[in-house]
Amino acid sequence: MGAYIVGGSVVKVDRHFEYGYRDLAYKALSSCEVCENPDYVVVASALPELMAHQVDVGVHIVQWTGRRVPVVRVESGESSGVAAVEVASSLIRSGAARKVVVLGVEKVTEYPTYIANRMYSLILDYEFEVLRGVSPPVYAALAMKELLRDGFSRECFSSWAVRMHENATRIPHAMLRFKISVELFKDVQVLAEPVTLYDSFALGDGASAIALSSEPSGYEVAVEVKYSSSEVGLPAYSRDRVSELAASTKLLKQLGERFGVDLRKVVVELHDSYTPYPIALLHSLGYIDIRCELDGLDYLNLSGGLKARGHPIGATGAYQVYEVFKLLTGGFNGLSTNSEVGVVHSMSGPDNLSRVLLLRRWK
Amino acid sequence: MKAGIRGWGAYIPRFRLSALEIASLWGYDSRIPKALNIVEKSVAEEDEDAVTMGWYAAKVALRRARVGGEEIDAVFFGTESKPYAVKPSATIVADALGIKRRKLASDMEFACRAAGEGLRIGVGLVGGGFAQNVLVIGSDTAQANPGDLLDFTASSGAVAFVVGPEGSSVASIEASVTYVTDTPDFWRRDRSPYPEHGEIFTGEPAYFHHIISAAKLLMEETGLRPSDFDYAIFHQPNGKFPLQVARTLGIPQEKVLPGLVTPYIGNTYNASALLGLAKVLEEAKPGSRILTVTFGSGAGSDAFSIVVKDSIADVVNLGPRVADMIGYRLPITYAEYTKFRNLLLRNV
Repeated sequence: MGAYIVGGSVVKVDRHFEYGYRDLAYKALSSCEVCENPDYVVVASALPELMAHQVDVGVHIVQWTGRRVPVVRVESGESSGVAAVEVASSLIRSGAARKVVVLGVEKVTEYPTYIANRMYSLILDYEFEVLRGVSPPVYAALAMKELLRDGFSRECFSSWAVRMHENATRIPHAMLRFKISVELFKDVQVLAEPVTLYDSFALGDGASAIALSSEPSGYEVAVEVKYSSSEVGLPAYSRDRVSELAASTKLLKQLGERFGVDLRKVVVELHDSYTPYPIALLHSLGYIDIRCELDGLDYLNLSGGLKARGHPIGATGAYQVYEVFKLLTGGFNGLSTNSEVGVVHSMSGPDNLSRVLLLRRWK
Repeated sequence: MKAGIRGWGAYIPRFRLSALEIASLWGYDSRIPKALNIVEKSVAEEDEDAVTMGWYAAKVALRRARVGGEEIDAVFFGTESKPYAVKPSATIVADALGIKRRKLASDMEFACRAAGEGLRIGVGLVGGGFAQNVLVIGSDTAQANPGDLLDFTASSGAVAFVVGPEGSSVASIEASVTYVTDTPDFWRRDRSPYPEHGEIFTGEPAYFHHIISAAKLLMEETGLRPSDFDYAIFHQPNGKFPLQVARTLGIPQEKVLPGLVTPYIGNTYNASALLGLAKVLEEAKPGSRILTVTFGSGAGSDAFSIVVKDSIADVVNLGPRVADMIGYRLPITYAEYTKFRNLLLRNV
């Protein structure tokens, strides 16, 4: 039995100071017409215990929205959203449910940014890394330094951010809908030399609802979840190179080997929490060399990526899936593609765990 | 009866602490001062406080207004750094200036906008015929937790205005509105020496929302458009925010820069936007229309539309100008700053 995405909705990624996690979830669900009457709800959220002081967040969301359906919450760090789609697909494929709603939700602005960043850092190993002062931007800095030593230019990373901002200007739900230039990087705040604020994702609140069904025929459009896979990588401190994203590379290579996926021909959303990671990944897959030319990768992160669409941590994967679904079924806001295949890549931390989804337009 | 500004005065301590020195001491990126558009901040000396600074500004305001103490019917002192937790500062200043005893006098607290509300109350008292002249003072030796981002900007300064009948004023207050909500973006609890703030929460839902809402409300009620104003002055927690507000409202930067004083003296809290107004009054040509919007955390904004009259030229030179006080500067070290602002705990 197949699992098909039949619709969804998103809340603009932003600093929603006036909304709590429940409100965000309700907004996403209530604007998703095809999300009515599911057999199961899978909630993806990474930080509710820390940011909202709430355990069992899925139950409280379902109760708040007036539903009485079974719910499970999935937490897998930054890749929670894609993990939730994997779980939902499994529920459908196993016959346990005919219709499942995935709800990615994250509320990160309950606290000042320095506290939110402290909580976000817990995607790393608390005892081995966080307690010793290692944070995600530190690994991103090490990765960028390795790539600079390999011969990549600083402009390569800046150009990624510029491209993401440009893409985000066309996305209604993107957080940073403005253009930046490479020149701006020289004056921007440094997070961890040489990684700057503009090399980092935009942290925002968000919620995304996606409906999956075993019976796509009754819906206007449908995209099949053709394949999903995940891989745990080595801890960054155990690798020869931080920029060696072995798990992600393996998963994306498998897509090429098993399904003939060429990232130049499909809609693809790559996890770009920090600019060195997508560059390292595309290089290891052979799509770019040190000249860093992204020509031909026309459907790459049209959403603006984590960099500019924004990164509501545990909900981000659900945004990526929604965006690829939309781009495969007509697009949005005048943005469309002629591809029938899409790839979603998500990872938590610097390739500590990576997930990929292969999506194919069904109708 | 309409009200207007009869006179104004300012006080800016001469000591300046470089924002780069603050960044260096506390390990901030050296690009932070540029990002905040702050070069240095003014620091009051050991024997200065909100009262002494406010007194000087008020003395000059009375001189420019050409009124004596017997003609002042109310004194409002806006501050969040009053020397006495319980004991009015307004009475100290009033007595020191020889203002008559039959008067209203009180200290006002609403973070950085208490003096702005004082101005509105002054407009109301004069307009309602309850007072002939009202003295409004905004004065702060602003507090910031050492090493906090606020440390870059929290500074010292004072400003004072005499509000009187429009007919005897040098600048007419043609309209004013206030916009207030309960927004906990910045606060200081009892027994806490320094304020705390909600970081990014102090921006969009607090500062920008209230200032923009008050400005729009004023324009809705008056029918004025952004292009009708020759100058625009917004509360200045740093040198960047007021320019962002102007962009949002469609007001060109050149109308904001003349009243933007924070890059050179920091955020003087209750005196912040109103020092900008004082500076513009000293430079504006008769007929100029000035938009002034205060902001205080907690949160609220007062928006004023002020039109400069011909008679302003007669009073500008009756006191020191803000621009001259900004230029009269003596650099100090962070060590001197800690001494001047009594930041070191010691037995005495």
